[in-house]
Amino acid sequence: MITIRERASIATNVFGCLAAGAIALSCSSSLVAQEKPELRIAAIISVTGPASALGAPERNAVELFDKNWSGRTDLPFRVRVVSYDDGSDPTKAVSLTRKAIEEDRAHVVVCCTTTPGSLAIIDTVNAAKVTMISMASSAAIVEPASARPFTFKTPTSDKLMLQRTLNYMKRQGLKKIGFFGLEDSYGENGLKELQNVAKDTGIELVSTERFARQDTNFTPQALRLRQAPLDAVYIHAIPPSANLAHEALKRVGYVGPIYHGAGSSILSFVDIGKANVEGAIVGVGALNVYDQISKENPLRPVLSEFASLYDAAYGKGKVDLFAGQSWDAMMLAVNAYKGIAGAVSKNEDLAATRIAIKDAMERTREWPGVNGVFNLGSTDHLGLDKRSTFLSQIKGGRFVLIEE
Amino acid sequence: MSGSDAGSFRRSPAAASVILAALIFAIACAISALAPQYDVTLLVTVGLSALAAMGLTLLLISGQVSLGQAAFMAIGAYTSAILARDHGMPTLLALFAGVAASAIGGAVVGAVTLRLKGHFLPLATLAIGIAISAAIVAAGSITGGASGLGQIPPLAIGPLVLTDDRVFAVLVWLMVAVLAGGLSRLLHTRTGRAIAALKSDSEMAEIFGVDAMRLRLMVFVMAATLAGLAGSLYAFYFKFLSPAPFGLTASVNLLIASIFGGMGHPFGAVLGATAISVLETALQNTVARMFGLSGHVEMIVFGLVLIGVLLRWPGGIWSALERFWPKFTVAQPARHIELTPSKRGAEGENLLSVSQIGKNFGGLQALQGVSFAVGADEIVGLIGPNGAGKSTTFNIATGLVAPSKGTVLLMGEPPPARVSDLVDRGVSRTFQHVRVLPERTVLENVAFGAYAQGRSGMVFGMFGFDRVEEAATFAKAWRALQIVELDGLAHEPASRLAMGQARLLEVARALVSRPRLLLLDEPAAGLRTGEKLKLVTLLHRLKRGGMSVLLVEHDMDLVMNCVDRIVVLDRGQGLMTGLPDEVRADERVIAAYLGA
Amino acid sequence: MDTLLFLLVDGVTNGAVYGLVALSLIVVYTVTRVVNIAQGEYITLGALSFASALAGSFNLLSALVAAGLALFALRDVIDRRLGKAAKLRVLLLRTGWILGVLATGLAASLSPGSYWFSVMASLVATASLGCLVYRLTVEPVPGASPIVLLIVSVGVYLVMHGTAVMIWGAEPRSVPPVVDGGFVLGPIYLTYQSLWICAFALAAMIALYLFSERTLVGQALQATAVNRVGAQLCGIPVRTAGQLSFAIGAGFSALSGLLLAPLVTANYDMGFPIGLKGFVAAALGGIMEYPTALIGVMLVGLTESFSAYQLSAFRDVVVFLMVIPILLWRNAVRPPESHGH
Repeated sequence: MITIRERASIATNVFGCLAAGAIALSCSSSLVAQEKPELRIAAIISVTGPASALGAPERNAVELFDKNWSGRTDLPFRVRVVSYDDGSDPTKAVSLTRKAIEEDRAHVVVCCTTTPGSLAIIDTVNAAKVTMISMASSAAIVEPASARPFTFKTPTSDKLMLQRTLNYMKRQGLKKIGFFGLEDSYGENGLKELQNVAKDTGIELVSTERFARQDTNFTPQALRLRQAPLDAVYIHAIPPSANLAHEALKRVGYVGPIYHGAGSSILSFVDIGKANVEGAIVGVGALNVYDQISKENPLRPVLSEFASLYDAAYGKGKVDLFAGQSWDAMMLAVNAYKGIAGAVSKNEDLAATRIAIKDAMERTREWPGVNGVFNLGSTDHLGLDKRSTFLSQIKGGRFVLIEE
Repeated sequence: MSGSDAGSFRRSPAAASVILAALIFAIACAISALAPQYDVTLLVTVGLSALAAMGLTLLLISGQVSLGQAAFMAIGAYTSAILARDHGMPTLLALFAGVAASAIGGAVVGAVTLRLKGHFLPLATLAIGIAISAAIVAAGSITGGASGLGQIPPLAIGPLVLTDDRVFAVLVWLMVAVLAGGLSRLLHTRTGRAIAALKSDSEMAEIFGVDAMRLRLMVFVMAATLAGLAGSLYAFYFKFLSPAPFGLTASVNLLIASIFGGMGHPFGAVLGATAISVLETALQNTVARMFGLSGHVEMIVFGLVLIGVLLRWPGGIWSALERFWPKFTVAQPARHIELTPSKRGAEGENLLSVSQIGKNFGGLQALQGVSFAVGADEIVGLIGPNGAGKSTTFNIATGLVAPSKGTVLLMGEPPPARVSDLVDRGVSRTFQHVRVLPERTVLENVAFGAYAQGRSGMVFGMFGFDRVEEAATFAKAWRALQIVELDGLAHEPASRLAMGQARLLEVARALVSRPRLLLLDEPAAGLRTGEKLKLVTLLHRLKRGGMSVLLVEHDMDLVMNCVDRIVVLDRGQGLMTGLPDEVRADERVIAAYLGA
Repeated sequence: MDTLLFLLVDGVTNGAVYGLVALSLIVVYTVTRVVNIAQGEYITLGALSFASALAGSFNLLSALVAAGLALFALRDVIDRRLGKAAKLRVLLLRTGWILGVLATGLAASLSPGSYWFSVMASLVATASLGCLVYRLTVEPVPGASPIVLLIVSVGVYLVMHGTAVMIWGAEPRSVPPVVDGGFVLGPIYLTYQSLWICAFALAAMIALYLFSERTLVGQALQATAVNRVGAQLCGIPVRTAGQLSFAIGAGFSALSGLLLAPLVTANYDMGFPIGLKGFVAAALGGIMEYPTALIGVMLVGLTESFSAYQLSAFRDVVVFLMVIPILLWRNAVRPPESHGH
């Protein structure tokens, strides 16, 4: 028979053992945790300000990434994400980049949403030798790679997209086109690239009209285009301006084909446009047509996974181009870090790790992101090719793939 | 300077300006040296905003509003950058060129918008600001357009190349401190008083010799120059320019900084720029990081704070702290100086002579065929019922209004075309409604009268080269106050004076401008009997000192007691002119005015 | 020739929208001396709440506004200076008002797709919001200088802009026009919506004109504009006048948002540029006078159209530079009263 005192002592012993065990376990796991190297990514995105239409989905993707990756314990390393809002202001982007580099001791800076912001921080990241991955459109951000050793970007360049689009136009027998685009850095870059690609392809640019993102009235410019002797109009903008430009063209009586740049490859383009944008030929990223791409395409599994993740978090069919750009940036960083995580010691030499990440980035080969297949190198910090561009046509309110 | 002067200097706003400026610089240096680099970047950004906002504050003090200040920053920035990068100009020279370009831009815009009144001026600056922004984007081949202009070389001062953030921050804040301190000191100097007068009462300022248009233009150019300086420094610090930081939003943000910080004082601009940055950083750290909410919540909170602070302290943060700032005082000089009238006009000639003047306002015939003269050393009274045309006569005599017919000779010549030349003729006047600068002290208001006798402009005023002149000015002001017996109230704010005292203040101010002919418009209105007696004594004293007076009055006893001659007006026409006794006995006058 | 017609129609339609906004600014400015930078946001709020009401979700704006009204009603009722009868009256009036706001919102959400219910809900909520904003930000500081009131209105803009994004998100929403389609008139295609815009704008302006000139309340508003103290001495409740002017201004702006949204989609950023151009138009036309404001408005709309046609990259430069000579001319002919004594 066990007396009360004995019961008490047994209880105490058991309790003590359990406690010791728990402490030991937690010690060991925290020890293990402390030993795991940490990848710190700072995401500086224009959530507010004029570029917020692009920044909001980018931020969503970053949060999605954070949720899925920061808590994971099955990896040989940990991931930590810090987010900032630069308000579409390059000045703020610079100070936030510095903050991320110094205070947060980030290994990788994912910035910025806009071209001016991305260009503004290049000096800072070069001086600090920190890898930067931009989500902006201009090729000037990463070219020449020798002057921008630490700068990478994820969106496919306008040049590639335009090459595909204009080649398609050429095959349709179109000889003269008009440009109808935004006045901001996105539109500017588009125009510059179009002028180059048109020359190479042998298509003549006969008319150029511009509008501002917040404009409400596109009729005058559309009228000008309609009256020009052209075979097709190319619109380089984002919704809702892209829609309004398109509708204005139709309203003034233009009946020719209308092409769109990648800026229109987001869902709100068809949501807003409805029947008015039927027949438009849009250069799209893979995400818009992921369920139509051939199954052999290496992008397909990556796309499906991302789309289902994103749609589950934010709503069916919400996934779009911009979200994919920041997602790729985060995943590229993780991919690069994977390669070197083993070499990172407990007392990390931050500077060496950062350079190691940059080198690892440049060794990325045939890596399938949602924007395309990346092949980075020391002279090519974009790494994308034709495989990141697709052509679609709006049929029945959907993006229907017409060329892969 | 006497011991009491040195003592009062210690407690003066000028000293406080220097101390505060030095303090600001010291703190900025400490932050530059010790803080992490991110904070130093913020420090530079705040300093540049403070520079531009200071220009706005100066504008606001002069009563002008600009919604295009960031556009002048853009002019300075892009000019410097393009010259340095694309044309190989040495960066220091390019900096000066950028500042000069902004100054020129300010002169052009200022000249065009000079005459705009009311809300037209901010609208014009808004329009120009947007036009400049749009032009930068449109002229993409030169300016880089919306994508931006990069690879700007760093600023080099001699052999020193400023690539280090911390050194740059020290440079920027040196300029902030010096300029803020200077502008703060300027407020209580000759030009500062004139600038303040531009806002409340530019017509009164012109009477005392202020060329209002020219001063307004100078202030506008100064504001543009400060903005240009900030912009050029921005270009050499960030080494990348795009139109985004120089648009309408930026102009509005600068205005917010000015007003949030305190629109009446240059240090308010520094305070405002700093407070906004601190607030934004705090919001970022709390709202964004801790609660994980998006940037839009920060915007809402910022808006709420802005509204809240301004509703509670409409004068901005500075107005809440103003009681710690020393009041402007000047000690009474040991020896007083005499205020002699300026020697103008030939001997024996009438100081003022109007002959057959008439004035129509539309269909209304205000004056018809009025003639009289005022000679040396005499006091003439102008009386008549209300609506007789007395104020109109005054305005015509001083050149504020042109007569429809007839001639006016002031010191032997027609009245000056510009009102600001009146004081040089030796003529001064008061008005029917008291027109003083309410926030300034009585002494400062009186000192304003000496404007035309001074020479020191903005630069002298900012950096203290005007001490001798200011001492002389205030000596004269003290003397004038003694003469009107208001010296006990010298350091009270003018708004606290009773009506009668305010009138005496106006007389004192007019005295300081050393007129030969003084026109007083109802000086006794609102005075008590004792005060009226003092006024009569005062007028006699002035006459003995070599001054002539023309006064409009309703108080018959006073008029009869102090004037040499009376001119009577009725319904726009001269009724009669004569000695007091004659006028008092005249039947027509009794019927029209004095009452049966 | 058809170019001219197109541009003309275009310019006039835009002018009509700017005109409504210009009127809002004028009403607000004349009675309260506030240059309302936040005026553009009422356009946004009107359009967005209309879009969401049409889609069937309960108008969050109505709820917020009702809550705000309730708080103020509470504050007013406990005011000790009021007698029992006055308190009862205030209570009844306010309750009716709050119920009205809620009821319109509810009606719109219960019958999704019903155009006129959504319009009512949106207009009532936005106009009431205008009144609330006045009570919160202008009434407490009757002596503040116009420049301070301007900055306060910037604060209001920040709050409203952030709130709009938080409630409705950053995505643009399409809104159906009053009547779809259009007809061909000679060489150009006129949409029915454009006609509705012009018609509505014209009707609103005439209504405002009649209201100000022919009704007692309108006259009282004008009196407050001319001389606040004098109006008070005549027994005109100037605070109510201020609230009414803000409500009218907000309502008009919301109306222009409703009319414009089918053409340009309802999105959170639409208010500011339209508000800006409306401000330019109002100031050009005469910020104090309704009829001449229309001329200024048409001028802006037409210049925009024609300069965009000629040289689209420089159109903003042209429109805004054109403001200067017009201002100089107007200043010479009839300068505005200077403020800030």
